[in-house]
Amino acid sequence: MKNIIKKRLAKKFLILDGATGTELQKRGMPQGACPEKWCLDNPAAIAQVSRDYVHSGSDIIYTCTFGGNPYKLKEYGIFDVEAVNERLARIAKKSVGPSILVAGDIGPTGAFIEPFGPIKFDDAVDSFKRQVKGLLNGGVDLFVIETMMDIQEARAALIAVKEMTNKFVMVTMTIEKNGRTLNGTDPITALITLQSLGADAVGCNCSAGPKEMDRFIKAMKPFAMVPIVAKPNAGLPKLIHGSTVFDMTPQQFARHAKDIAKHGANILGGCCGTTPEHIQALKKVLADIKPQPVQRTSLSALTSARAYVLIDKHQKPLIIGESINPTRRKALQQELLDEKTALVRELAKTQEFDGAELLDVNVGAPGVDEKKALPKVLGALSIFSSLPLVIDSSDIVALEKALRLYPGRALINSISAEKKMQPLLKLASQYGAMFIALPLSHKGVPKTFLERKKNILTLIHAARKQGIAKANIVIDALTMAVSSLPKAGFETLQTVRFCSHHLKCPTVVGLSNISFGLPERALLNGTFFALLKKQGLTMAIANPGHLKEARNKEAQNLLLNRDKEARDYIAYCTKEKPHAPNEKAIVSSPKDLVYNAVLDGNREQIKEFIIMAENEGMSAEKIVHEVMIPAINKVGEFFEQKRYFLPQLVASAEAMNRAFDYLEPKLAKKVMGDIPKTVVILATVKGDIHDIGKNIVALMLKNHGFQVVDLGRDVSAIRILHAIKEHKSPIVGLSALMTTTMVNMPEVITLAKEQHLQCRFMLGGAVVTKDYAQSLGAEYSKDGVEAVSVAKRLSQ
Amino acid sequence: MKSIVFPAMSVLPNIPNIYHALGYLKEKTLVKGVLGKEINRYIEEAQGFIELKGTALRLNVIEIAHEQILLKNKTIFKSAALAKFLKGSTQVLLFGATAGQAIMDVIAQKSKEQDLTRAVVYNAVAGEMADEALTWIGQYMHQQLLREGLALDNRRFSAGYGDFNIEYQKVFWELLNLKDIGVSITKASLLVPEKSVTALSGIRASKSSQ
Repeated sequence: MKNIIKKRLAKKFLILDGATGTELQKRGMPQGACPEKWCLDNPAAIAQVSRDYVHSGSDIIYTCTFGGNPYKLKEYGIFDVEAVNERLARIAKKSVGPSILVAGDIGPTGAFIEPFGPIKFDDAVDSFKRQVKGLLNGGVDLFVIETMMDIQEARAALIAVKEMTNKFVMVTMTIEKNGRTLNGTDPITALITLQSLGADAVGCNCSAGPKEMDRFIKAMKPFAMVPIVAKPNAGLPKLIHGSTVFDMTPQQFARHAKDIAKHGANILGGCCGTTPEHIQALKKVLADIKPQPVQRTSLSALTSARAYVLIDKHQKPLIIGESINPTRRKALQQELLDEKTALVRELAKTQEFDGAELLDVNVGAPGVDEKKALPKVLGALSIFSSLPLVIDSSDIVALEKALRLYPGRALINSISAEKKMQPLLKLASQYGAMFIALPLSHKGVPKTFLERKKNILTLIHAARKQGIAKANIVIDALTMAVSSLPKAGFETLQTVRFCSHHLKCPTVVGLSNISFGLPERALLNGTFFALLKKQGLTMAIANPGHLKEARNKEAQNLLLNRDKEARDYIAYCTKEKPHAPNEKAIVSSPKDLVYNAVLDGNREQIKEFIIMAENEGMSAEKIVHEVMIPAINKVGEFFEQKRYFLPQLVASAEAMNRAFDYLEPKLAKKVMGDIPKTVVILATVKGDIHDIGKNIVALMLKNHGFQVVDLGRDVSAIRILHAIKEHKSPIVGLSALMTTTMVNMPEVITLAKEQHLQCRFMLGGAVVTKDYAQSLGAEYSKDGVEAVSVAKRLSQ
Repeated sequence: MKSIVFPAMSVLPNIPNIYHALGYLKEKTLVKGVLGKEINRYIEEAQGFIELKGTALRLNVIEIAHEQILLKNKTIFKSAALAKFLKGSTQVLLFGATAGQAIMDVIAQKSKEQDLTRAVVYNAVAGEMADEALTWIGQYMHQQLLREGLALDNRRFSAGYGDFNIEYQKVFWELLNLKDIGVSITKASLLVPEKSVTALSGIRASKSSQ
């Protein structure tokens, strides 16, 4: 049957059915009923719906088993999953006859699967298998996994089908208007993941109308190795008189669906809001056009749950971040032993920000159980990072667990021409993963290009036998230290050239190995990277934060074996180099640099600039009065005008603060001129825990010469009064974010009045208004900048 | 009815919303140079500490009167604004989400270390991500409801807005079993961790073209 469907698809479009639920409702199914149960009780109704679609032109109809999985049926108190699915499949088969194909319909469970939810991945697979078993017993011709918004659930269902049968299986995802599923997967990522895992057709259904879906199909087609499916709604739902309505007419629907077909869909039907009339109109318009054939047989690409990376030798080499590896990282070793993932997540985010496009994940360390740790780390990274992962493990069991759980298409690091080659290749094939081919054999590490070539060809040949295309293999060109093997660079360059130009395979190197034992490693790595790039390198395993392409003559000579014993290179590295002139110092005076540091929020360099200003004879007082205060006032102005936003204001205030930390001991007691050292008490009132706004106010006040006593958050009235007395503070700032805590402000003010304390209050916080503050006889400030001017006014 | 738990939500941050929450105005605010890169880095970093979790609960509406709503589980919400908001709804969806305690601990730590720029950005990211998680739950439930011929109103209403008393936060907390996702509630009806949110939307019938 699979081949029959494939042959049919090579020549013509296949037409699916339309919406089932609304058709059943027209025939009396009440709202809130279990459709599967209702169809079993009313088989004539569902049979009629199927026949109506066949008469309209459907080649394939779906069984009414969208909610036929154990999780959904359980909601209605139904537990005989296999029997329900079998009976519904039989009804479908009987109603349409032998010439029409019946697809066993598998919908989402409504639950979330690890790593995104509490359901164990294998439990989800086993649940879907129960449904698949019933549908197979009922005689379905093919399977459809549909309306999937979670790629992991789609994977679980697909694995369930593939492990039960070899029948044709389509998978369709629900893509939202923003071009992603609710879980953040874009259509191309979904396509790559699912076709690699063995789906025979992939596409979209539901959520969008045909007009919106056209965009997704168009995006998917160039990357498709399988036919594309499109089953859109009858337009986008509209809210009319309080009800959601799909109002696209059959003719409008068909017109847009024709565009989808022109842009590459091979299998088309309708979802929510569509009727047999929509399918009839669709069939009619498709009669005029020819389907776009599938053009690819392989694709070098990797995915995470939310993104894809194409491996293309014409683009700049991809950087594989190498930091998630406990070797020589004690903190990471400890974290893995403690079964935590905070550091892993931090390393992932840092590498992502530094430019890594893929992340290598290695959890091998003494005492760490890789079988447990690897899936856990992959799960955490799948939630927190969108970069595809390179799974780096020599433990086959751990690797299989990881590949099964990973919600994307991974790169295995690595498979060598050794004992474990066959079982590892089988795993790569089963889960559709790409792999790094390490040209080692039982003889050890080959030092020359010719030895490596032999092992590379062995690996490619063995992979082909497992049905793995060359495009799915990334050859590791093996980098050894040039300090111990002078020809190391040259041999690696030759290997990359051969793989890239002759084999047309992607390549990878572990870049930093080359510079082991030598000075100026970054320079050597950077130069090697530039040379490899020229030879067509596709990927490099490196620390993205340290990798900078370089073109250094001495490094280049060493790498090309033209510098025996690295004499010239070491001489170059040890030679004293002239200091680069400080460009900033030339273009600006130290005074300008300090001013700009406040304006730019340059916390790192402000102290350095102040020292420069002092060296030019400026006093601490002068720096504060003539440079820093005007600068922070300008920042306040910019903030008021919205030219600056909050982080800029705060960064500038922090730069001021750092400058004061340095200058304070040098300042005379009263340096702030007209601004006296007034004490301001700040507190977030009792019951409230929100204090970031109050912290900003504290920082701003300090910048303007106030002495701030910050009492923190959730502070009782008694404690505030005590502090006022202790510090003889004339100004008290109170903040609250909630209406329920704002009511604690009057208590403080009333008590202060009762105790005749001579202080003024200023209030702030999200729910506090000017009117409210005034009603309590207090001042109001909306933000840190205004708080400064209010405090200045109150202190006069 | 039992609440649905989303224990590890994978939601993409809405970067424009994060900037907006920090006071960024597209036409006026100019961010460039090192600080611009720093802010983007902080946004990335913050995501590493955020652990989004959520819950949702569907309840049937028994009656929507002028100033109160009676739900099937006998919950009564007294609010004219909410009654108007829910007009025509046959069910309601209560939902809640949290950005987790880890990010709040880091924010407190960074504030203490006088790294307030970072704390301010982390704070905005956590707030927006919690809000984004609510949007996500709403969209997810809407998808589920469409297949049942129902639809979720894309507007939300929360305790503390209009005449819908903030003290109803306690009712949300109990019905949604927010304790199960690590959220507690204070006497002042504040959810802890701080970046935790709840809301309510109406569920109405969905109609196809006939």
